[in-house]
Amino acid sequence: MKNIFAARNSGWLFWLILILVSVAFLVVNESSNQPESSLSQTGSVDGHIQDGTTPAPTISEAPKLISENGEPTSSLAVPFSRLYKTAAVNDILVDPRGFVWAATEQGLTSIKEDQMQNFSIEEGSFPSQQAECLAYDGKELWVGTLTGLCIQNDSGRFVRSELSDSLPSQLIWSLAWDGTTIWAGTQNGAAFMKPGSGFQIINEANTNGGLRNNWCQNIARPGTWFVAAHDRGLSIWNINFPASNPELWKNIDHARSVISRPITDIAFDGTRIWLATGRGVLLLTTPVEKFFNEFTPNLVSYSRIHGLPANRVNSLIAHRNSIWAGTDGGLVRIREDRIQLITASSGTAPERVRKLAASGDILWIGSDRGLQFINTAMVD
Amino acid sequence: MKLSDFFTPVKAFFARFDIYQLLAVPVLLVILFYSIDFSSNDMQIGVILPLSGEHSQRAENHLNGLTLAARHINGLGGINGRRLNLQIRDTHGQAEKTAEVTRDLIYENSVFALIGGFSPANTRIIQALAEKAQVPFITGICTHYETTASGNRFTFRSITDDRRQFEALSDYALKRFNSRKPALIYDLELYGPDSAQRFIEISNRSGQQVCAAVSYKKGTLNFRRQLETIMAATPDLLVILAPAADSALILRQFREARFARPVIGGNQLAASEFVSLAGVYSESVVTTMPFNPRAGGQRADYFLTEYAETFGQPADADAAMGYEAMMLMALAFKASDLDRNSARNALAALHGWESVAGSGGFDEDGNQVRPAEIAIIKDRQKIPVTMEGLF
Repeated sequence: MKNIFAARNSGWLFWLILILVSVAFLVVNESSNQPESSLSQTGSVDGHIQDGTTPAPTISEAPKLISENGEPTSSLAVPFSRLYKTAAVNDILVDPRGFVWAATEQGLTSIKEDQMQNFSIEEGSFPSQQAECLAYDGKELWVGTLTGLCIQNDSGRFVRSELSDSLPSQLIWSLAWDGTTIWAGTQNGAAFMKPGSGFQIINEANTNGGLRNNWCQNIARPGTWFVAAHDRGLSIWNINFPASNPELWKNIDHARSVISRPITDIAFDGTRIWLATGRGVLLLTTPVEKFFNEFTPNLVSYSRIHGLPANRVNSLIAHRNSIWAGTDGGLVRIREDRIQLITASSGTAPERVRKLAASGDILWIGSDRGLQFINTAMVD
Repeated sequence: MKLSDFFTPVKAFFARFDIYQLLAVPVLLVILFYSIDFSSNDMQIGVILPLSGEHSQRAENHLNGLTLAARHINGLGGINGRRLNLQIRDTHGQAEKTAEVTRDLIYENSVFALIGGFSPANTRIIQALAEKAQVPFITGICTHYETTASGNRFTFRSITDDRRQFEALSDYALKRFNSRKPALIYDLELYGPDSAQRFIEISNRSGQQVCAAVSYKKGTLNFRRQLETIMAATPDLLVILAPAADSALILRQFREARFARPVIGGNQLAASEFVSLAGVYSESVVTTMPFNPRAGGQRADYFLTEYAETFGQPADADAAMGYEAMMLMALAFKASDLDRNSARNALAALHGWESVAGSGGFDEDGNQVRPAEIAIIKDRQKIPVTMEGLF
């Protein structure tokens, strides 16, 4: 070392060390500012719900499959992919062209053939600080943010859509595409739009109370039904009938039930509706095709005592004859009343899952740190 | 020893280095100086309140309480040597702005925790984003009962909620005024039909029958329609569930229409804004009292003195609730590993404490367990009913 300092012709080496030290310092300092995550939690859901429009609904518990020592009934080890680093993920969408889109707290990220592209307000390629939700209508990608609705223009940049002004609020919490219509859940009501037209608003006022609350945090479109999870519970509307007739809406109220608020995600397995909540997973036992005549909001609950690694469930998806749940304690699969924790045989499984999306056999997992995927064909 | 003798070895030492190496030292120091984020040693706390707009006065008082508490904590050396730094954001009372500033505080400023809220809608937005990002959130100003009745883990409330307030009001109305037929007027933003329904249910349980329940929209100045409906029902008591300024206006119009029956209401009527706007009409109004200085003892005396000296005005309930909320946050930080999750766990473990507002504690939902206290307004002062006989 002494020789290095003494040698007159070794100034470049000194500078190199100096820069490396500085860079290392910067990296250490920056990483200490990152938000913390990971936790475990306790609690369970049970009891009765009462609904103003339906008789004596109840919540029953799924069969207890947990072992005496509190461990999940079983776990499955599969390889997890490398982490595609992004900001905290709010939504994931795989479009038919093969692009994987992630709505994050720093904007939008696309992945195709291992190439990542970021769209952010800093780069001038995205008009909002964050992106909340995504929908693809077969031609265009729609991005919901907390400041309005965005679409991609011809130059590849995302811009605020003019149609955003026809939404009931610019706080857009969820988007859905049902093959013919775009649906949006906003702070001040829901809305739907067929391509080429403007949004039609659905709210408490124009449904005469059919939609019980305007804050539509999550929406889904199973069969001929529109489902909105809002601040007062769940409102379900048969879209073949006028929304203005409140008698045709089915409602489950939070206030008179033990459904935890908020409902963080909705999944449809082809027959029944599943709800992700802060206190586990709820299964609405009435099949969707029987909603019209035989709607009884009986629910089956799956919580930590049944084998979920955490009660807070952030995302749900129906995929390969199973329900996959992203929780604060990791990824699980619910199949035939069995709950299986998905662990990593290689790679690292995220501690906390924020969002799930599926394409073919691939299940994409969004976390606080980015995107990963597993091949679900390997699970079986 | 000659001066040149001293410099000779120094010169010899520096002669070993070339000019680039010597210049590198100050450059390194400059780089290190800018690399270190000296402010990152501070604990960033996000404060989200409607500091402009309709509820600005109450929000300002709440902020004053928070600021005073932070000043005291920092004056005592902070939390384990780290100072509290309040990142204050104004929501303008708008949902969109609330979401924007909450998101920025969580993801751009990396705050340890959030304090604030006001209206149920805005508080729920903060709550939704805080829960998603696992950031502890404490509200000392939003009383809507549903805020902590929803299974959320990171949300806490240090003010007594509406449900407990309604129970106390209903009980007092029955025992003191023998009320059997109260009427209710409520706003659609701060309380809404849910709260009205909850009040009716609580009244029914104690054998009272609400004879009229009428709402009004934000911005209403003339309450003639509501007044006529309520007067026609001949109630024996009026319950006002509305923001402080609206409550004052409603009270004035009812009293001017010669409505002589008792008037009671929630903690909005305990705000200094209500008393100053209602003036003489506030006399004998019964309200809940989130902050009873007598319950806080010496802590409250010290707080009241310090507050008056600092801000040149007496502290009201909003200020005291702000002070208490910040102190609770500090208490949790002190018992935690200074990260969000352990701070949340420390808050959840606060089942009992003594503060400027007296004894308190969180239940399993993170809700304040302190019972609501009833006060009667006399000479523009809120007198706890337990001490009413003294005045």
